[in-house]
Parts: sequence; structure tokens; C-alpha cells
Amino acid sequence: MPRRFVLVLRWGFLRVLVLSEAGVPTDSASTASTPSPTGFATLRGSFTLEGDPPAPVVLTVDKDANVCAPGDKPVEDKDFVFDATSQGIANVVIFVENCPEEWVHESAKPGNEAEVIFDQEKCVFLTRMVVMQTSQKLRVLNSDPVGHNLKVASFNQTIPSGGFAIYQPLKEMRAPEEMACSIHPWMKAWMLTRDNGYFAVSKEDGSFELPNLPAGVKLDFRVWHERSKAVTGATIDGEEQKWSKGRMSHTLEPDQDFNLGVIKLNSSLFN
Amino acid sequence: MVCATFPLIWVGGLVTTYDAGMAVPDWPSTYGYNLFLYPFSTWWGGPWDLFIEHGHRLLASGVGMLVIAFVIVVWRKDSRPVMRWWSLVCLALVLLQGGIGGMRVLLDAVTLARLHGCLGPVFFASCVVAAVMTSKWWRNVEPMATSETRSFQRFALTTLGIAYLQLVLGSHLRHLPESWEPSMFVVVVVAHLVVAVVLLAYCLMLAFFAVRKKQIRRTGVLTSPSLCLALLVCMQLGLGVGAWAVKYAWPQWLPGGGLWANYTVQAESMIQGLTVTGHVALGSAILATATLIAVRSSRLCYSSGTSLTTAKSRELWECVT
Amino acid sequence: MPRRMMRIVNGYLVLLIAAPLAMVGCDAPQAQFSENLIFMKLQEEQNESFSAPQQQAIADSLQAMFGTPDEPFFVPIESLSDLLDVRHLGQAAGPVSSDEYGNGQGLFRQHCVHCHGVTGNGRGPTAAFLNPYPRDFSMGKFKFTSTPVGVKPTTEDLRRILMNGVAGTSMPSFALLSEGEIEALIDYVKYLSIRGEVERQLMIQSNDFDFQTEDGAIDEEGVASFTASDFLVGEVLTDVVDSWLMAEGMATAVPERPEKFDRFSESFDAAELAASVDRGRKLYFSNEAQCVKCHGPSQLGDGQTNDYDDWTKEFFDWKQSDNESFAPMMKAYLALGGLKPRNILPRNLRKGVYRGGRRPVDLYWRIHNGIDGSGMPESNKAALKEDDLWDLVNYVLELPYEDASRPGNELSVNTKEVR
Repeated sequence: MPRRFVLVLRWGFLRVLVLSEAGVPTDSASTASTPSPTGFATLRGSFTLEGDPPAPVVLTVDKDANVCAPGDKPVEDKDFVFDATSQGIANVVIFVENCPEEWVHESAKPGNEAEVIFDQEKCVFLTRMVVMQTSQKLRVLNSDPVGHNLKVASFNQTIPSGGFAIYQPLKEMRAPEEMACSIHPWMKAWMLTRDNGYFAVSKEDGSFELPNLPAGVKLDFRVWHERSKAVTGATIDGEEQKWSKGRMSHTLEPDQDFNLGVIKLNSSLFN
Repeated sequence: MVCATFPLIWVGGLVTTYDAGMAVPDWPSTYGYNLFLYPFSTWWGGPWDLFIEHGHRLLASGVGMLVIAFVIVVWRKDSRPVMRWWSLVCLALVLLQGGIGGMRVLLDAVTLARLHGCLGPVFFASCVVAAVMTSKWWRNVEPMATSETRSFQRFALTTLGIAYLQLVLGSHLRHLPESWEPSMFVVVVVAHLVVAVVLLAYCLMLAFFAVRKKQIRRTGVLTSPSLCLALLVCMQLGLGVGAWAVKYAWPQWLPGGGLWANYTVQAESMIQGLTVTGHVALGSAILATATLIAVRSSRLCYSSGTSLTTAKSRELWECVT
Repeated sequence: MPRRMMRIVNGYLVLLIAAPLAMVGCDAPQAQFSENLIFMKLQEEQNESFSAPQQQAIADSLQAMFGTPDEPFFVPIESLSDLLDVRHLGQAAGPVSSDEYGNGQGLFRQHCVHCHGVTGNGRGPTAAFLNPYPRDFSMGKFKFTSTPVGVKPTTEDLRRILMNGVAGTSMPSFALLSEGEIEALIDYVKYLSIRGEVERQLMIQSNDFDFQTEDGAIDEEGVASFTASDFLVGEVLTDVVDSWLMAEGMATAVPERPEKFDRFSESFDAAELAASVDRGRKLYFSNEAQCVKCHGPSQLGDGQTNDYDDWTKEFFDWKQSDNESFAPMMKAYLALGGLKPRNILPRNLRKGVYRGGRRPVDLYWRIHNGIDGSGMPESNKAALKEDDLWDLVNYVLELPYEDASRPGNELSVNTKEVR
């Protein structure tokens, strides 16, 4: 329950502050006409690359080389996973930003407690982009013969070889945050926790699917990739889209299966 | 007068060390009382910062009155115009210094505090000049304006200048403006260190000349202060390092870092107060000693006596300028 | 009479008086909170440049919620009395002075500002010279806490740091200050930290508002919705304040250290302690605890040596440091007040210097909770139990007295020299 205040700001040095009783509505205009969903719908699409993929970054592996860089082969960072045949970009995350709990479909309600498995092998986090609900727990495994630790948000724990640790996030994130291992500082992944289940990460071929979205209300989606951070624009059907701060809005029809089709992201975003 | 001023600088230094400058918010009165009528018990038994701030004021007014007495004596007994003129300079300085000190309190301006801190040693030095000028030696001295004494005199003047520059730099480290960027502090600290080394070199050379050069030694009045100065600067270096150590802890990368590693600075502790204030006071003492040497050597070079050498050197000087 | 001499003396007098005067111009007249320009640039890198009205709205909101360094203010939210005493803010803020009874004012500027800065961003004048750098409160992260990583310190944690100082650093002990002054400083640190964190949040969240219309005029409506108390207080401030309130109950309870390990106890058992130290030693090299990975096989802190702390990593990505485009970026951040990045080194355990405190309970907290903002992780809860942690604490306390040449257990694979 958010505490309510009426704070009248006067530009300059004067400050006038009026405290109102909790629960008293302060702004009737905006609360009166709250829209409510008329049904549910699906949004899908596929992120592809327009232009040349960025040159891969070679990591400096200066520790545990026999495990992390077997055969002394150079290890490339997986910060841009690209499938040349489908031109698909993996690990693009799309999530709904504005969704009051009463809009959320049963399948995406906050409170999901299913554990998410997160493993590491050869000093690589096997999941590059972890998205889960705040209520879920992350079970961190370690399939390497060497020890690791995982550092993210409000968590930093050692994970012995063959051991595990459990991370329960404290709160919802507004944007993905970095996951790292202090022992092997080149290791990297990203994590996003959301209260509801309206999020998707694009697969190898760039495709994603967001089912059971509330229809009949305007939804703000945010699109994010670790190299570009906010994805600020795309081309769909030859039409250029400008997504200010990585945000696009759609209002879906009930039971609609809305396919955005091929969403072309320009390579300049990822340099 | 000199003897009275040195403790004044100590106490003034303490005022800054304990940030007691604003312990008494009004001036020239103390909490509404006339300076001299402020109840002794509240002052003596009061809080430490009030004690030193008020003490500083009392001591300062004592020095002020001494200077006034000095002016009166000079004007009645001493016919030399230069001496009369100088006594007025001393008076003007002490008044100015008092005024700035008062303004610092009234306006609560750190800049004025720094100015007050810089002007204090100037006044101290001017007292030293007065003391030298009123001494018997001054009247009876045999001028000796040889090239050796003249180069020594120039050297002494440069040393004095460097000593003062060092003092001004130091005052900036002490009255640190909050708005300074970290890079500015770095610049001033490095400058303070560089000038410290330069000053040490100058003082050692001065001492070396004072001992080795026959003519300087023969004067009998330059050798011991020069040696004293070199000694003071060496002590000052030690105190400077100490002041850093008790304020910001011993830097780990310096030798002995391991031994000191477990030492945690205690803010406002006795050792911190004494070391830091000692560094400030010793700085003034160095300035005063450098002044003493400079004034005495100048006297030797530019004596008012009618000796041939002086006249010659004066002609030479005029040709040059 | 020596005219020349007088001329020289006159010249000197002028110089002596003019020199300090000349430097007067260097000072800014009034203490002001400075903007977190580094964080703003970070936001701009990820989104768009901040517009002038956007910056203005953030600055105005901050001033309305927190006042100025001379006149601090705190929005009187319901939970305020649990968080801090507003009167303390007035005592700690402002210029330095004291009254006839010795009650100090302006404590922060007297004791803290030289290193931590007026804004509490760890960039006071002396900062660049200190190693480690002074703490930047604005991230809301504190290293030596009794609470787990990601949780704020408790009031007791802050008090402990103020009273004891931080050994091995320039942070002094303020044990000679009165209890009341310590309280005031604790509350002021909380205030500065909350202000700093709110500023960051405002910068992040301002990206969701419109401050300018298409034609570049100020979007009054957008500005009004941003500066509405429902948003500023109801969402941003309350969130940060709650994280502080929550921390008070989250200190890790440390079970009593078994008395047999306490040299000053009657039931001290040397053999038991020796056995515990031996077990701790095994754990140090073990897969379960992994201490050796960073603190090194000889415990000199020479294992992992190329990491940086969170305050540095915020703008410095060492993995990119070889990249060509990185140098100008780095330069830009340094120009905005960023301090030169320095490695964060694992502690040399043989020195017997413990920044977070030297009592067994302090070391237990360090091992159990890790050190926020640094690479030091928490112990693995599934693998290590209470007794194991005491064994490790006993071992660490014994290390400064142990022969450094004593061979380690099997050297782990990652002890190859780095760089």
C-alpha cells in the first residue's frame, strides 16, 4: 500500500508540504477511468539482424586455464549470439512494463515459485540472459571442477565445484543487471526479475512469444539487449520504428495472435 | 614582543586544528561580554574549543597592546625614521591581523581564516625585524658589503621567499575549501612537497655557506641562525610527515607500511592536535629565522655607515638598476 | 639610510600580503550538493541525453525533498522517526561552529567533508590521495556490515565504523566525540546516502517521463507528473527509506563463539583451538570455502588481483580497457570527477589488519556475509555450517602468527601468477 502525500513543489527555495491521510484519493481524474482488459492475446515476432554482426570479443582467460580455456584455444565472449542461417539474434529480452496485478492472466501471476536452474561449465554461464519472476528462486549450480562465485544484485555467494546455492531476489528490476564471478572476472551473464510473468527471451533464431497478455489495454513493452542496452529502434515490414528508450506500445484484441513478423535490428545498435 | 607572538601562533594553530574558530560567534565581544570581562570561570572551565578561541583572543589583545607600547617607546626614544616607520608597520599589521580575525568570525569565511593564518607569520616576522633593528648589534655593526656577503644576502632573501610560499601552500592544505576538486588537492600537496625539498636544499646551502665562507663566519651573527634554520627545516619535514600520518594515516606503500597498518587515526586526539599545530608553529619559526638571517645580512650589505665599501656597492647597485 | 633595503622590504611586504589574497579567488562561496554527473552520463549512454528541463526537474525535486547542505530537510514520512532524528541533520550540517556550552554544529564539515565531500560522494578534496578512496555513500552500499550483501547497514554497523575507524585506511576513529555527535553523524550519513540513492533513482526513472514536447518547449504536464509527491515520495523515496528500515532487522545473528576457543575464558582448550585452526586451514584450501582462490596459497592476498570494486566498475569496464574506443570514454568519466581506477586487492591475511573489525564476531560476519561492493562473496550456505565458519575464523586469527613458509595443502589449479 503506497503512502499518499500531496507535495506541492514550488520552484525555488520554498517548500510547501501537506500530508494527507493514507487512503484519501488525491487525484480523482486519473483513477476514475482505469481501463480493464477485455480478454487475452498473444504477441510474437522474431528479432533479426540488419547488417554485419559485430566482431566477437576475445576474452582474457588468465586463471584456471586448463578448465576455462581447454587446449589454450582463445575464448570468445558470447555477448552477441547470432544465427547466420536465420539471421536471428538470441538473448533479446522483451517484457511488459506497465501491468497492474489485476490485469495479469492466471498463468503469469506473481507468486510463481518454480526454481530456475542456472549452471556454469568451462567458466561460462550456461544461460546468458536469465529472466524470472521475483518470487522464483535461482538454483545456482557449478558443473566445473573449479569453484566459482556468483555476484548479482543482492547476492554474492561461493559455489563449490559440484555444489549449489539458492538465490531469492529481493525485488523487481527495472532493467537487466549484470551477473559476474569475482574469481573469473571475464564471466558474464545478465539477470532480470519481474513480478509478473510477462517476459520473453529471444531464441537462437530470434523468435519470441508472449502469450496470455491482457487485451484491450495499452501495453508498454521494453526491448533490451546487452550490447545495445535499450533497443531504440527497428524496421518492421520496411517501416522504420522509433522506440524511445527501448519502448514500444501495442493494444491487442481479445484472442488475437498478433505476429510482429520479422523485426530487423540494425547492426549499428550493437557496436 | 617576539616571545609573546610565538605562543599566539601556537594557540591560533590550535584554533584551526580543533575547528574552534566559530566557538565564539561574536566579535570583538565574547558572548556579549567585553573581551576582558568574560567570566574567567566559564572560560577556564568551559569547553575546550571555547577555551582556546577565547584564549587566542586574550593573548592577541595582549600582543596588540605590547605593539602599541612599542610604538610609543620607539617614537619617544628612537630618532631613526626607519625605526619609527617600521613600528607603524608592525602596528598596522597587528591591527589588520586582528581585524581579519574578527571578520573571519563575523562572516564565517574560510578564506579569511586562511588569510588570517598567512598574515600571522608575517606579523611574527615583522616583530623579528623590529627586534633586530632595535638591537645593539644593529647600531654598532661594521658594514661588510663584499661580494660574498651580498650573494649570501640574496640567497637569504630567496630562502625567505620560498619559506613564505611554502607557508601559503600549507595554509591551503589546512583550510581546505570543500569545493575543491580532488585534483586540486593533489596539485597543492605535490607543490608543498616539492617546495619543501627546495627549501631544505636552500637552507642546507645557506648553512653550508654560513659555516664555510670566512667572511660570513666572521660576522658572528649569521652562522648560528643559519644552522638553526637548517635544523628547524629538518624537524619540520619530520613533523610534516607526522602531520599527514596522524591525519590521514601512514600511507601503506611507504616503507614501514606494515608496521603502521594497524594504526587507526583517532580524530581530535592529543597527538593529532599537537603534531599538526606543531607543524604550523614551526613553519612560523622557520619564517622568522629566515627573516632574521635576511635582515642581518641585508644590514651588513646596506649599512647606513659611511664606509667606502658601502658607498661603492651603492654606486654599483645604482648602475645596475 | 638603506633606501634600497627598504625598497626590497617594501616589495616583500606587498608580496607577503598579496600572495594569500591572490589565492582567495579559488574558493566557491557556498557549499552545494553536486550533481552525480557520472551516473547521469551512464544513463545517457543507455538512453538519451538528459534535456535541460529534465535535469532541472531532478535538481528541483532533490532540493524539495532534501534541502541544501546548509539547510537539510527530510520529508516527514510516517516512518521517519524509526529512520533518523531530523534535529541531528541540522546539527551535522552547515558551517562549523559551537555554542558557549561546547555543543558543536556543522559536524560533517568539521570531520568528514575533506574526504567524503559535501555531497557524500567520496570525492572530497583529499580523495585522490587516499588509498583506499573514501566511501561514496550515494550508491547505498557499505562494506563492513552485519547484514548480508545487498542489504543496508544497521545503525550499529555505522556506529562501529565511526567509533573504531577502519584499520589500514585513512578513516579515523571518532571515539573522542560525544555520543550525541556520533548519533548526529550517523543520521547525516544515512541522509546523504538516501539522497544519493534517490538522485540515482530519479535519473533512472526520469527516462520514463517526458520533459519536452516535440517542438522543444517544456512539457509542463510531464514535469508535473514527475515532481508529483505520489511519485517522488510515494515511489522513489519510500523505496529507498524502506531498504534502510528493513536492514535493522536483518543483521546476521552470530551464535556465541564456543568458549573453548577463547584464550581468556576458563574453559579455554588449547588442543581444541589447535584442532579447529587445522580444520580451518583445510577449509581455506577447500572446494567448499575457496578462500585460496583470492587470498592466495600463502594467504598474502595474491590470488585474484585484477578485479575492481563496484564503485569503480560502475563506470570502468576493465575488460574493455584494451578497446580503442575506451580511452576517450574513460577520460570523459575522469573529467566528470571519477577517480582513477585502482584494483581491489584481496586482504593479505598475514598482516593481522582487519578493516571491518578484529573481533571474532566481525570476522564471522565477513565470512558469512561477504563484503558488499567488493569481490568477497558470502560463504556457501549449503556447504558450510556454523562450526566450519568458527574454524575459519580461528584459522584467520591464527594466520599472522603462522610461519609463512609452511607449505600449503595441495596448490589449487588457479594459483598461477596473474599479470
